[in-house]
Amino acid sequence: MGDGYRFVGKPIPRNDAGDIVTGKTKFLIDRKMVDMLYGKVKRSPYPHAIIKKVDKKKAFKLKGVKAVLTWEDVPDWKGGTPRYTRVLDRKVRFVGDAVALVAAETEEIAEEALDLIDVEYEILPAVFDMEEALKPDAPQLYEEFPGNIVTPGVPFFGPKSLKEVVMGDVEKGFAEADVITEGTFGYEGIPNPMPPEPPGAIALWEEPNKLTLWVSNQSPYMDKILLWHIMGRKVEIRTFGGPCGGSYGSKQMSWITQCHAALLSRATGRPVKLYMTKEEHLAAFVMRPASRMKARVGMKKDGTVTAIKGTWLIDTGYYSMTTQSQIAVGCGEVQIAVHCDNWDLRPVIVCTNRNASGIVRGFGGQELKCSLLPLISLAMEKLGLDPYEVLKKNFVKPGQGYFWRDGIWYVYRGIDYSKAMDEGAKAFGWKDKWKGWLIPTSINGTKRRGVGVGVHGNADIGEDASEAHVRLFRDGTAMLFSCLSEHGTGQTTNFLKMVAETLKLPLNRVSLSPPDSMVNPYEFGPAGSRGTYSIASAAIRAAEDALKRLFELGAQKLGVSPSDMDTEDGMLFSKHDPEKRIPWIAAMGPDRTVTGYGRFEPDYTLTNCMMTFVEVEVDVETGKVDLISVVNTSDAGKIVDPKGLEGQLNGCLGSAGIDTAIFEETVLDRRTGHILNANMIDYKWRTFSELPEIKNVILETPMESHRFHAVGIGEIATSPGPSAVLMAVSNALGTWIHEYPITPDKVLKALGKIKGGQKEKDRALELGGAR
Amino acid sequence: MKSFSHYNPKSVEEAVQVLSTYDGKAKPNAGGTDLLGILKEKSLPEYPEAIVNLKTIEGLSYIKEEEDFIAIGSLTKLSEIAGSQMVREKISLLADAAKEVATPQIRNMATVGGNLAQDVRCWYYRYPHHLGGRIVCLRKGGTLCNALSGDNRYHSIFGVAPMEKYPCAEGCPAKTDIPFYMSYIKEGKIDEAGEIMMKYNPIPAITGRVCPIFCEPKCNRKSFDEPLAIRCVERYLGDQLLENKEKFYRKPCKENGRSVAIVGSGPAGLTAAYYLRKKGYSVVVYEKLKNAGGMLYNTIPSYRLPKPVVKRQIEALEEMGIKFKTGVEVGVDIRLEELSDRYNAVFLAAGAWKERKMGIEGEGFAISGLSFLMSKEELAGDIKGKKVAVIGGGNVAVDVARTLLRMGATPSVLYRRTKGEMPAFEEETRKALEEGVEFSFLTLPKAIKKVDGKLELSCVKMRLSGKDESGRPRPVPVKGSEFTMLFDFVIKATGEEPEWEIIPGEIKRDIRKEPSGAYKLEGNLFIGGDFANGPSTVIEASASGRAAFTLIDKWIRGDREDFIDEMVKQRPNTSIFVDIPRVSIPEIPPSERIKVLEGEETPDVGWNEIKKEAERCFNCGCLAVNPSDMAVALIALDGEIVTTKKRVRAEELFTDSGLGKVLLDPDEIIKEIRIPKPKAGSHQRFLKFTLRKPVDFAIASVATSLVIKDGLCVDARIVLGSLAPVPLRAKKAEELLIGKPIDESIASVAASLALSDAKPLGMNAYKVEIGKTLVKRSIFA
Amino acid sequence: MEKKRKEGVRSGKKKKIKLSVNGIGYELEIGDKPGEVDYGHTLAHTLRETLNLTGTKVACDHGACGCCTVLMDGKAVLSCMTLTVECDGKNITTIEGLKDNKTGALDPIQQAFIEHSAFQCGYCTPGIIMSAKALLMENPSPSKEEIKEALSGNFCRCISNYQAIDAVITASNRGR
Repeated sequence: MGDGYRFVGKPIPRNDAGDIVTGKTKFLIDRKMVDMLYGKVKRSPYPHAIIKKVDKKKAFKLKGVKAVLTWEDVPDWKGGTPRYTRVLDRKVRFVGDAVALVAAETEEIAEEALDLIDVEYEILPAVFDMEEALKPDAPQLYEEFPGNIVTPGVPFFGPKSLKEVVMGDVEKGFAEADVITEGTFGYEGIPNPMPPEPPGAIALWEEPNKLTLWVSNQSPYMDKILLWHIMGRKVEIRTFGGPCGGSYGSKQMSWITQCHAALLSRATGRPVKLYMTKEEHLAAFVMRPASRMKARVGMKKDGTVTAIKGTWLIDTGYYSMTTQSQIAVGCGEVQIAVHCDNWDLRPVIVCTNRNASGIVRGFGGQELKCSLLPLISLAMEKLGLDPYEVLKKNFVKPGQGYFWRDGIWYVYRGIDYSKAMDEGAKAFGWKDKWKGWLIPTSINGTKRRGVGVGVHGNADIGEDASEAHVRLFRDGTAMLFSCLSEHGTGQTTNFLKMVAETLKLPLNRVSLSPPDSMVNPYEFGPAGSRGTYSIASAAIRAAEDALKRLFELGAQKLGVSPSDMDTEDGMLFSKHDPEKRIPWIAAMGPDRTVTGYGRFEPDYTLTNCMMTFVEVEVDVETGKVDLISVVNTSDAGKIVDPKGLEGQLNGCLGSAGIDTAIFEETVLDRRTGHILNANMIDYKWRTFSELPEIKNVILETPMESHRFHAVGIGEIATSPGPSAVLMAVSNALGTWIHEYPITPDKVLKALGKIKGGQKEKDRALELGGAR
Repeated sequence: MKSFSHYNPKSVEEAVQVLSTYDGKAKPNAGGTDLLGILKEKSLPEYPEAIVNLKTIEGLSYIKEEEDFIAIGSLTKLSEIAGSQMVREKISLLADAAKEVATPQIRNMATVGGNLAQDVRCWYYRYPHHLGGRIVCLRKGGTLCNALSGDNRYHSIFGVAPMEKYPCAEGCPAKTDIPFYMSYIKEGKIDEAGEIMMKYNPIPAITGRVCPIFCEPKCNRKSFDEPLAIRCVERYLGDQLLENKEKFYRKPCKENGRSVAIVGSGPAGLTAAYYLRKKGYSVVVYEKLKNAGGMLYNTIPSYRLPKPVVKRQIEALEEMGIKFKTGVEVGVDIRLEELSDRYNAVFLAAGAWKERKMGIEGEGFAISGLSFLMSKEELAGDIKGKKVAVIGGGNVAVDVARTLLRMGATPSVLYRRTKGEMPAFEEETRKALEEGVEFSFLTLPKAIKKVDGKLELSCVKMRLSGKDESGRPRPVPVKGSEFTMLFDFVIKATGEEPEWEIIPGEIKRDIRKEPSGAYKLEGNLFIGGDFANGPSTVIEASASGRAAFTLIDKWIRGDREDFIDEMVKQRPNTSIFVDIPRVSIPEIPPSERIKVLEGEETPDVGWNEIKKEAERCFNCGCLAVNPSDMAVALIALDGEIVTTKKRVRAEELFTDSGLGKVLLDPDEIIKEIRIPKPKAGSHQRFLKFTLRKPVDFAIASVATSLVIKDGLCVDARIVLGSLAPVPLRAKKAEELLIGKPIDESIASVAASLALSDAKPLGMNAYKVEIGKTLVKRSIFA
Repeated sequence: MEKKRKEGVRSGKKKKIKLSVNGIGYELEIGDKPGEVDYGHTLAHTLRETLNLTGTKVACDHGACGCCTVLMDGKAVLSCMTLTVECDGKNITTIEGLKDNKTGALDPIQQAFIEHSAFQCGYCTPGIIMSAKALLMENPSPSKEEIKEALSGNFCRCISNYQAIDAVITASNRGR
């Protein structure tokens, strides 16, 4: 192979592969501690109520019960943005909100104790729809959020933190437009990324203020930072990560569960393991925010978007921790995907009486795009433009720019993704399959096929800081010190590959430090797609720094200049005179280690890109939508792990991705606030039986990122798909669908086959503007 | 999981024995894939005390080919059925259905018996307890089927599994099947609704006006918003019945040659007369007053019950051939013995007219309430502008007071307890108060004296202390609280009792109170209504009249038949939720009300409102569908199910499963299924629609078994799954196919027919289209 | 009635159950003390908590996701929907039992899963491998459709399904 790499880009099995296939991998849920207790949470039956009285005497009397805690027993730990949500509150705000905590010798005893806690509630009226919540007489969730509008902005992103997309002059933009369309699209299925391992934590509290937490997510270091603020900056926290049974972003929002475990350990002095059941996971943990957008779009005949003006409502559920961040990033991302000089897009975050929204793969951008791309499509349809061409034209090009999450304008210095898009279109056969707007690709009896395309890009590949140490040992081995948990991307192996490549060591001589926040430097974690650029940059720099120090030692020994030094497989040698070579030990001596330090400073001038083409088949008699094929296309600069990348991109279907357009949704009873499908039979997920054909077309145009010219793209695989499916189904049916997921009832309604159908059609016409 | 006792029986007998000792508190485990879920969810209010593992029973796992049928042991795993070559060849439908169940692992565990007996998948029913507490839906003894007003995308489109007993009907003394007639009104079918009504209550125009509504407070809808305005609908229906009396009060087709005399023409007498006449008896009603109708006509004020309504009711009954002899007092004008001789039976329903004595000094100065109400016209001139005391707290007292007000007098009601204890209907008391009637509670008159042309009433104040034998608070005089008041008139309405004197002394009157309200005396004498039970409500008296009819009829006919069987109709399924508020029944303002003595104070409500109100009826039942794929297949194949208690066609077992009735007794176990060997030319098809494969329970499924001979369909069984509370045979579609060649167009028509009776709810209309498609494709694909 | 029930308990109650897990015989006491099997324990619970065989995973705990799949007498079953007290005399194989203990060799399926990176987070992998194992024991040369069908009761949220199918094909080819 021409690139001369030994590991980068090679199909090398992951380090943890052997443990995974033999069942040896210990996920957090598999861990036990000596003397460990089990925690359980008693949950509210009402969506909105004040806890008037709690009687825990009976529960406490049950043999094996060690602690029963309610809001009266716990410190004033608060989370949320801003921090207004108490870990245990006197007020409950959704069906399933925590009312009391129990620690007991076994899970069964803890569970039994929950029923022995008597709670008296004062029931308050509740609100489940964002527009209802905004009405003047709506029930109010927090005194601090009048009108149920959550304070915008993210302190962590700086004083100018992006809250909206406002620039140029939209009226001027509309005046320049050849068509103006207007409509409302919702992405409101509140799907759940649903990692298989449910959220949980093990906590050990040592008086007076020391907390050790074993966590399961991709960013163990960040738990320490988040909890430090939540716990009033008074607790000394050490976090341990470890193999994580799926997260898709979501488990980074485990703070409530972690606090519950910590409180129970604090009350008992013993380690406490607290795990959600799958039902709790689906009904009381975080899910994707709901999104509804009403906007006007102006477009020229050549596909130039001249103006976008609209309101973006985001339902965050009963609190927001990261919704503002998701909006900030989403607002940044939308400028990457859709170039437009005149914007007036105003987000409003609303809280309602359902469980909270949190981080999910696609982080704000998916939500925004699922509503906005269809809105822009209405304009394309009116002008008879090919959506693939329009999306390609409007994706950010080098020299253009965007306001990123910190409110600062960045000029894009990356590559033009048009080539990758063209390759993808070719692989998909877009030119043959695209027959025009609202025209099926083919009709075969009751089956109609349609195609659609979506796009997404994210400058998060260089977001946030990373730090790493690389320590070299005399025996020719090295260790990467980075606070990392493996959560499925294979990145822990990839970083080792890059360190090994840099140190020119065999892969098996490089290892990773335990994911312990005490021994490792700051690490934001492989959130978004930042791992490949940000974390790897820190690791590569640390390796280079270590090597530099080692070369100095070696140069002394060999009597050459450090710049003449090189290494391979644990040997040091002179580049001019390769015969001059010594093993590392000879340079380091028996009593030394060499440590290099690397840091990555945030860089928002690069973005990744994902364009997804889909073909669907709709049975017009039953309304069933089948996904036939998917082509994901991008340019990764350099593929580090071909099989891992393939897995990540195939992941576009799952974890609240493309399938949120077809069958994935959380069903909320909007009269009572109960989540009805909180189990894996009624919550729909993609099975082995119905796998569409997937092709991933990934180019490798070297990027100015780090030594290996790669950028991460894994996270965004889920994002362009849903709007592409919406487009494809609309084309197959010949009429616009405005809501996700496109279940048979919606299809049959759109076709006018069941009641409400005509009305729905009228609405589509009305929203779609004149036609 | 919470623990339980556990048994591994070796034989069916042992399993049954254990199950029966637990009396429903032990659950059999035939595979566990459904049961363990329920245990983990703790979704049922009662956690089982024991689990009886059926899998240790030997000899229940087999697939056998007999001469005429294939027998499959109930513990046979679904994977074995799906994988059996013989099953696939002979009854492919069953193999296909088995293959469609859940996932490979589950098919390796689940048994056919377990699949047939599994519980519903409704997500309200199965809402896990640890997410804030289980939902106590109607199926679990709650008051609401949450799916009706909630998310019902996966629920029945063919109505509900009815309850065994409806709370509204149970509340009604006549046990009127209210949801039944409401469902007809929803469909605009007044005649059918009337038929149902008449089965329980033949005088709804009257009860629809004066009933104190025992039903409405029981209405399940009240836990959702407000109870159904049942009386309002009943009144409308009653008026319609009278309007079309030729249809509803028809002469019997055949006279039965027997005769009954009825003494008294109040609600009990009228009701008994109606049912007797309907059955062919010749009926003569004796009424001592000038006008028929008893209390209905003679004492209930017109503003509540207009006289023309009672008249029309009597006329309707007359047209049936019932004879009314008014102005004839039994015991005075005619002897009871004579009636007894002349008629096959005599029903004594003379009411309760005798005013109870207060036993106070000067009681003779007081006018009796009933006689006042009967002869108010004569007093009209005297009473205007006068101050009148009304003693008592019952309906008569309030009727008197409100009537006085309308006659221009100033009534003052004296009652010895408080408002809360008043026996008068709350609604009446409320109206009296609104109109300005003065109430003196805790006031007991002790004497009446005539002073200067006025009546001086000496009273004492009371307080409530302890309880008397009726369970009501006992009024006790407050010492030193005596006082006097002056009135122009005093009317006493302190309760009435029957005038049993008309029964000759030698006939012993039995004082037992029958729950039915009627019973037999000596000879051919029957007794009912207020005459037997003391003062009660119109509907209670009417119910007692019906009970008397049953007794008399049975007695005369010698127990040969039961009249209830006359009309067994399939209950229409109309459980469509409408989110509309209770009808607002217009009420005339009190100041206007008191100006009118004769006119009815509650105006009519129009048909549109009535229909809308009826649509509010939840038709309480469970909307969950039966989740078993195997049941659908088995019924299409006309299979049998052999249990430890019975051998029954699968179809019958599943039609039996209403709410509150389960397929099997707690100690009953399925032992075997038997499938007749299909005839030559058999075409079988099982189609299951889900959002995705596999895992899912059917959104809709269809099992179709056709027999084609010489190009014609000679037999058809089409069964719809997951569309109704139980697997449902599409009989109209089957009938259509028989005798015809099968092609695409007949398949389409059959599909439409199969779903023609569907009544989709808010969110599951799409299931109709899917059902049609599956039926069509199962017939011709 | 009470009396009868007590008799029932006595006659129905077993003090111990015997089962074989990965070829090792276990005799487990029935009771509520640590290390004992309670009537309410599922096989998944017993494997994970009592026998410390945590390779068997629990995700949905309701029989939908297949993460807890083990082999019982050679058939793939769900250990989360099986009561341990109903496993007397059964032969159980878990993911820990696939590797050849004598030679240390991985099962061909495990080997193929490594080669194909047929997992991402790896949580569902043991269940998927056990389903694949049951399939190949019954049908050593399955078609792709048969593989999909056999794995259709297994959840993989990361969508490693495609690579898992390829891995099973590879393993079955090696078995030929």
